[in-house]
Amino acid sequence: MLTAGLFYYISGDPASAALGLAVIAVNYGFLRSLIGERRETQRDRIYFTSIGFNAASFVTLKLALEQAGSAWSVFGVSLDYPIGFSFMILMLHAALSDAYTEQHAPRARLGTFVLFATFFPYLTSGPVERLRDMEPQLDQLQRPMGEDLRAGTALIALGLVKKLVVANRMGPFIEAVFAAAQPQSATTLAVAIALNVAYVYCDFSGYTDIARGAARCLGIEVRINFDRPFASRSVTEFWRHWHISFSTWIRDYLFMPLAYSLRRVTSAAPMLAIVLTFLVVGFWHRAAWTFCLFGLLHGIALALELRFGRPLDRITPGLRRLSGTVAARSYTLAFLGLTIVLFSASDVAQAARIIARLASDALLPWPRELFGYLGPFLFLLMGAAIVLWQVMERWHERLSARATPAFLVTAALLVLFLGSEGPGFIYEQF
Amino acid sequence: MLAAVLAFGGAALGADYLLARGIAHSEALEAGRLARLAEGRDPEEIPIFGASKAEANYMPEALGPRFYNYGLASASQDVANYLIALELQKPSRQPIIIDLSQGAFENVGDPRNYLLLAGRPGTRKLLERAGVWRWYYAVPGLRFYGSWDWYVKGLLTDRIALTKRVVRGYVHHLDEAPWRADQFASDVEKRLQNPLHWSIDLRQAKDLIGLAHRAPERQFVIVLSPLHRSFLAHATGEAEFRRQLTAMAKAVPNLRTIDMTRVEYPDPYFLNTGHLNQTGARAFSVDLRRELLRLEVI
Repeated sequence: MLTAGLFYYISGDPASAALGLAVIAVNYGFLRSLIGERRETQRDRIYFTSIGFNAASFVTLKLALEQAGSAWSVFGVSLDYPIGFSFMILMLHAALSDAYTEQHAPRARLGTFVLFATFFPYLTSGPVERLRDMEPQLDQLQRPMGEDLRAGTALIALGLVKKLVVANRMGPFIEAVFAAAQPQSATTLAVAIALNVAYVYCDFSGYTDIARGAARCLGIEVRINFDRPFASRSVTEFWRHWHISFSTWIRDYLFMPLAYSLRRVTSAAPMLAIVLTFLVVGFWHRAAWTFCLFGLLHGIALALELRFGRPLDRITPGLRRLSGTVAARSYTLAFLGLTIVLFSASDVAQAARIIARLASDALLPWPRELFGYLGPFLFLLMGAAIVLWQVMERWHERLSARATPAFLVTAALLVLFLGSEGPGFIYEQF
Repeated sequence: MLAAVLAFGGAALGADYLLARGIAHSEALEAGRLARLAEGRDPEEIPIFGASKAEANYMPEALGPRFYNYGLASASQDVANYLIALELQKPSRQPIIIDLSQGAFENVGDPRNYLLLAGRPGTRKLLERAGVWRWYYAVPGLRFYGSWDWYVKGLLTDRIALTKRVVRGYVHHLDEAPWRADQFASDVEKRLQNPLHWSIDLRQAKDLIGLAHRAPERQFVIVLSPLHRSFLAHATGEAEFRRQLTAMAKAVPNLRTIDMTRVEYPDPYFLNTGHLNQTGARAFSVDLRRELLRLEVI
């Protein structure tokens, strides 16, 4: 599996993969040094040197290769941003941090460590795995059981439906509306913004399902990454259910240490730590103002919720439970819709134009241009997205062995008849 | 699991059959029109080939009873040559009309137009050359992946929305917006800033000559259809283009050219600076018919 994984990793762009492998090798050196070292001061020195190295390599490569959008030429060899590097660096740091804090005593076999860092299902877009979860599985690979193949195939099928049927159908509409030269009506923009949330979810969680399914077919369990995020009643709750492997990583390895360090400086340490953490989250996605602003806005929302509680709990105490839930979810979805525009916009100015237009133009009942964009597929897409995020997130786990073939046939026919080729996965670009 | 595979295969092939034999065969769709050509449904028709100018400018009702418009938007001379090769399989002695673009390009337009013909020789090469071939185009049951809605919507637009009426390959847009002077002036302004460079692709031209050699009993008529004067205002490369065209005509006795590039039509006859609207198409087709009669092509 290591050989096949390395072949996959290297075959795309050998020179850039070599850069990634060099970073893995250095981190392996840090890990071995940490394991063998009992003296506290030496352990501190190794750990903080590793943080400096990883942060410097990430920021340098992010700014120089990804942001500039051009390759480095070193001795005539062209170097690009290594595939999956943003995810890999998080996993490497977590491995070192867990060893440093002695939450995990890794065996740290070289082959296992390299396989952990380059395991093909999660290499490009996560989930962000931990060495402590993967090492026992990778050290003693088991022959996949029939149940693994059944569950893995079902997960892959679900992911393909999310990506090819729902996300790829929505993508061109959203792109056309956001990039249109002519001003779009507020209704069209509102529909595009709502679909954009579903689009990002179906694209990303679709990838995660495929990654988890592929790993499961090899007998390896990869962590769940989404758990009905749009049922969240606040932005805080949303981040507990969205990209879970990443949000728990930032909680454990960024927010907690930062809040701990800042508590001596200010009484508002947790709030400040949240804002700073999410600024880093924005930068991690891409070194661009749109993503930094996305992170900042989420950081501020989370800080305010931490300080004052969920906003609608205060505003709507008299509301009955159902209407309170609807109001809270609407607030969360509206916030997400407006901020995820920054994810899709080419720059802050375009995002500002979209939001301003939405605010200034009256909502029309049903603009003609929408028919041109989507026609009858609009309702199908919205309905499919709602069903997928509310019903199917955990549904496949209850899928019986007898029902699996019917599910697979249904998924395959959905992909065949309604699927569409489209751009690659959104998170591949990070 | 075998039952699942069989169920999927049966459903996919059944649906493929329905689409390929029914929906996609409608001549309201470009794909259906190409299937008509490939099947040789009318051996005595006079086909018109070319890109969007052929599609927009040639109205068979005004040209004569046997004409059929096979123009395809964004389709290069490679596509016209591919369609001419299909046409030459018919036992026909009718002339072939080719609208030659004044500027060469290499697109094939929408690959979905060719899926019914994916198994025919030349189709794969044509799509591969344009970089749009997908492996599943050759697999019955899978070949329409990503396109099902496109065919169905195309047919529904024709049958239910009633926004267009297709008569012998020419699309009458029933919802065509009225001509507007200000909009056209804006088109003219843009065109003046983006002048035409006359060019001819020598490989495509050589292929066309080869086809004409193959069928000496048929007349190949290259037509240069009208452009708005703004298109020609700062154009370059015309002399070389004409030299190549003359060489082509000399190389093959059954190939002749009709140049109507500079025939002046009023501005309201234009959809934009490169294409005529329906009023303009009717006028141009009447003029072209007169010219074809004068040259004894028809």
